[in-house]
Amino acid sequence: MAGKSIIDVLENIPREVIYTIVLIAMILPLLRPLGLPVPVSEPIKKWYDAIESLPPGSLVLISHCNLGAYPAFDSMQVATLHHLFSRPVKLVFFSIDATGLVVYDTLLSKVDPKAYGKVYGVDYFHIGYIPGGETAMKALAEDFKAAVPSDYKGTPIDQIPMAKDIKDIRDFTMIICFTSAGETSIGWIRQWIVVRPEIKYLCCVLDMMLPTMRPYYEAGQVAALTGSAPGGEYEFLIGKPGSGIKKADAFTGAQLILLVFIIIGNIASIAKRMGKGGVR
Amino acid sequence: MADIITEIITEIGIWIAAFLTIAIVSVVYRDNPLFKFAEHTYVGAAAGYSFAVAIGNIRGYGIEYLYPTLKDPWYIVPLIIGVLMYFRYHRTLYWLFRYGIAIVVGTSVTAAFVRSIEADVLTQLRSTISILFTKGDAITILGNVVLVVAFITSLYYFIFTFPSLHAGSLGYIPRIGRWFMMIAFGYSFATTVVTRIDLFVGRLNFLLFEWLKLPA
Repeated sequence: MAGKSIIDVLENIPREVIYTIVLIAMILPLLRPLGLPVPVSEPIKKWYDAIESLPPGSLVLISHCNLGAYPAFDSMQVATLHHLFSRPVKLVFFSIDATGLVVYDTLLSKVDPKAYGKVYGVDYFHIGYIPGGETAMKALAEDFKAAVPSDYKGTPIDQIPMAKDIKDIRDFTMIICFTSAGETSIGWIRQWIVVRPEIKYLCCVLDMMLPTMRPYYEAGQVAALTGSAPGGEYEFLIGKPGSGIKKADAFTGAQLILLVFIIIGNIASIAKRMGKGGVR
Repeated sequence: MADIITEIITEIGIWIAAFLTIAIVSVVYRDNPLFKFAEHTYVGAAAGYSFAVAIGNIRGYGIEYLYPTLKDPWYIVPLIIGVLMYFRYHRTLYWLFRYGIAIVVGTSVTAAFVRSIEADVLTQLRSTISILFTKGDAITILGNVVLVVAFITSLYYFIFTFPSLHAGSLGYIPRIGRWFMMIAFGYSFATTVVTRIDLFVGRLNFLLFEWLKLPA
């Protein structure tokens, strides 16, 4: 430390120190929740209202996330499933990524459809992973049964009762997409919403993708757009507290600490540039 | 008995997941053998899993239509295209793989491009132009005007064909555009940080409550 000014020290805080402080700021609120208020933001309200306004019997396509992004989407997906299963609608699950099937099993271990009186094949089913990205979306829109020979367990599609009436895109009322990939979130717009704008598109992306998706929302192509972080708000809204609410305090703690470090770094940098770095 | 075995297997899975999570996160200290092990395990497991899924897809979307009963002979075409890809490893017939690649890329690009004009360009343009005529309170109108100014000045910034458009008093326009873009990049970076925290808090949640089983 000898010979170093305060400004130098502040500008060169070892990253190990920063990581440790951020880690503590995350762990403490997880262990001892601060109980900070959970205000429900506008995007989450729109998400909730869109699902709540689904007419009985509506068919909803759920394109869930891949395994790598699961920690981020966990609370939003679980809360959305609780909400959807509580409504008189039918669900078709779809995985655009090969690892998505593991996510589906994990989700259903947290949300029990039987608790809502839902039966596999009658109220919901999973069509598995279909390779091809946008070409798969296009194929589903044009001829559902040709694109889906069987469900994810290998049961032929003709033997699934609720699949009998599904022909193409016109049978769906809503798509709900959870994704960490831009080509997926925009792909649904290109292959489904452009073709049939009546379909409500609910899109939950990683928060870093929000700037990219915002123009589509403003243009009316997305009915509700949210990042993955506000899962706690949704849990609060539907009255099913879960990991999202627990994570909210840790999230706030980490952000506040990072904000402090950004301010310190900038003050040090500006002070140095202004020639005031000689204070010992 | 079956329940106990399932429970043991689940518990082993949780311990492996916890070990790999800690090993991956250890890179924030510095690169180390533990991180390398976890990284290679991840790549290997992902490759193995993808291979198994791919085999399932070849069977479900190809072979089952052809054998044991011939349901649709046209399904031989994607199988041939797939086989063409492997000619890449043949010394003299390697050029055949280009046809496979060309067909796959051509189909995917066409599927995206046809609708891209409407989804990504025309609708966005209509929305941006019509925003000026949207009624609302003073804040909404101000926000809309800022959006249109940001759009025009940012677009102007990228006109490099005529240097005179960037000179003199006209030079203020791209400068304003650059400021708007810097703000947008700041927003993007902030949301990137938020995403990383979100992912990490998710893993912490797993370590504390599923692995260590601390009281929630």
